[in-house]
Amino acid sequence: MRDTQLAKQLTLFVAAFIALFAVFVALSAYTLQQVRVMGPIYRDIDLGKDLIADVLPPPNYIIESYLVALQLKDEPEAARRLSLIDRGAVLRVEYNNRMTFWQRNLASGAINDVLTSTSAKSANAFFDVRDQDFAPAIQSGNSVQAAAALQRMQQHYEAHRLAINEVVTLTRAQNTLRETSAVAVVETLSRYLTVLALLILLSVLAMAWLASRSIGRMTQRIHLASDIANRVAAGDLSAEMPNVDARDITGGLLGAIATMSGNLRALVSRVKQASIELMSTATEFAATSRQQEQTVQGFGASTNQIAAAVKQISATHVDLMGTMEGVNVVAAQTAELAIGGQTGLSQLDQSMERLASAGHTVAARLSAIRDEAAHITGVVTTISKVADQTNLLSINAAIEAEKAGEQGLGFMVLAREIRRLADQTAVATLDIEQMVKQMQGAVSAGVMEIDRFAEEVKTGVLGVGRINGQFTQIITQVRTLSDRFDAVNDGMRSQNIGTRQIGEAMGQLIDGARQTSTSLREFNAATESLRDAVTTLKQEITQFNVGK
Amino acid sequence: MQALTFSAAGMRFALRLSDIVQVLPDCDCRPVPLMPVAIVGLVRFAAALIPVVDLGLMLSSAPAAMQRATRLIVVQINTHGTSIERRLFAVRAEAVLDLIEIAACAAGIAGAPHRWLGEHILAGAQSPQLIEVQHLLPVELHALYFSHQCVADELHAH
Repeated sequence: MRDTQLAKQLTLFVAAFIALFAVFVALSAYTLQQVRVMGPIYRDIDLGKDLIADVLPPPNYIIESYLVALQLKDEPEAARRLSLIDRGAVLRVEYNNRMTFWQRNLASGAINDVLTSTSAKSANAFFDVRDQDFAPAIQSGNSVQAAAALQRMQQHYEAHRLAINEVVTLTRAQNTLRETSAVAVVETLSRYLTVLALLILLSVLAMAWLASRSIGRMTQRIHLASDIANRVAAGDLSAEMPNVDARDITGGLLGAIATMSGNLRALVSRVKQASIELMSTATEFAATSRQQEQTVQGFGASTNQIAAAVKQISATHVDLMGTMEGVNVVAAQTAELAIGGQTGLSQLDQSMERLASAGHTVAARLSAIRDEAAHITGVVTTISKVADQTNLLSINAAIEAEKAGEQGLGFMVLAREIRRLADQTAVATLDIEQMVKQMQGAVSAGVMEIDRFAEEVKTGVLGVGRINGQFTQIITQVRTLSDRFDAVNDGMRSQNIGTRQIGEAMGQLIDGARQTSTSLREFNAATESLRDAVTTLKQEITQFNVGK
Repeated sequence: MQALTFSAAGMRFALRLSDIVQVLPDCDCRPVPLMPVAIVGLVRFAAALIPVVDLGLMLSSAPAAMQRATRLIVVQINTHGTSIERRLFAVRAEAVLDLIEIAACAAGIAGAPHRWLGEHILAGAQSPQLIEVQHLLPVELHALYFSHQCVADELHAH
């Protein structure tokens, strides 16, 4: 339907072009006919020029000057004569102007030679005789001189007239030749114009035929492009594009549609994938924002606690500054006490040295006691052996008394008493032995204790010396503590100021946390909106068929 | 009658004074090969060598501990056959304790292998057990130590 309409439009356009072109050609031929040489317009113009030439006296033809001279010869009034003399002067000026014009514009040749040389020479001779001889003679009333001058003027006028006649003859011949040439040129151009019009018509017809073919092919491809575009518009992106020659604009259009379809298919696939990822991301955003909201709430609570702690620290700083002043006083007292302690340590050092010496003496005496105890042990061992032998003897005596029967009873009693004494001796020696052993152990322990005590005293002496040095350092350092306490006090004041600034910053931080919480709620709402939008996008994207 | 109490193998024993010849300090024993287990060796006493019996080994226990109070109690045994023979041997005691009067005795638990364990003397809390020296030597030593006639007479008497 549209193809037929487009073909009709093209045919109508070609027909209109041919018709208008025919009118143009006809009008051009008519115009050429009208304006051609010897044509109607040319004849009218030429007739007008002839009329002017017939009515006005020609400036380059001095006939009017000659008539004015004849009229001056017979004029009786002086005023009239002066007027005619002035008119003659004007005519000479006009002659000179026109001659100058023709000398400048006329092409060189016979006409130019006759007009600007022959005729001008006789005319100038005429004007010279008139102005030099005739006019003064007339004004002076010398009629004889005037008649003679007029006769010479008449001769020059005749020569001028003959030259002018020759110029006319030559000019007419030249014009006739030019008119004939112009007619031939017009006829030739008319033929050229006719042939050119025919060629243009043929070209237009050929171009119309080629355009019709191109339009048919373009229409077919545009139909195909329209069909694919309609399928794409309906969401079917799986349409495959046939191979076309893409050298013309419709081929480029089909190629562009194929590229568009392919790109759109890839885009929709990516958008599908992206919508899934976007949904996942939006869900993660929502979860993360909730966590962040909880974190911010926790942060707000922690910030409140920190702010309270900072206030407490500030109060503590004030107390601490008071305490530091008290400590400063105590440090001064400590320095005094340290000086006293150092003096006491010096005395203690001397006492320790005396104690070490006494310890050595005690150790020597304990060693002697231990040696004596060893001797006692030997004696006790001897006594113990004696008691043991006595016990053995008493037992054997008792045995012998038992064997003696009645006679041995007294001996038995004696043996029993001896054995009892031996037993008591053994017990006593055992006790002595135990006591001596304990004494030896105690002495040995005492010697060891004394030795250890001596070592400790020696260590104590060294320690006392070290403590004495430390006391000196303590005194020195405590004396410098006052300046340090002042520095610490200054630092505490700075810390107090800093703590207040931290408190203010914590207040701003709390406000920031509240604003962040509000922003997170808004972010949550935006995330929900994003999820809704992604859901809608997924629904819209599912309408597109991207094939396999 | 009196008895001498002593300790051996951690227990209290007693010997009648009539069986005791002399109490000696402990001394080194000369070991004798192929002797019964309870015989720890020989010691010199009164120009003779007499065997030493360890009650701990007799009771299949540990031998008597060697310490300062350890004694050798020399005892005598007599056979009562056709001719009386007197033989000496020593008993190693860890410590000789006391002389007690044998006033009352209670029967101990005696068996055939340990006929040398006699009655318990009821004195004090320990109640030492009397040792019958006639049965103290092991049979094989007893056979070697006395003449065959004496042994036969004694076995006949039993």
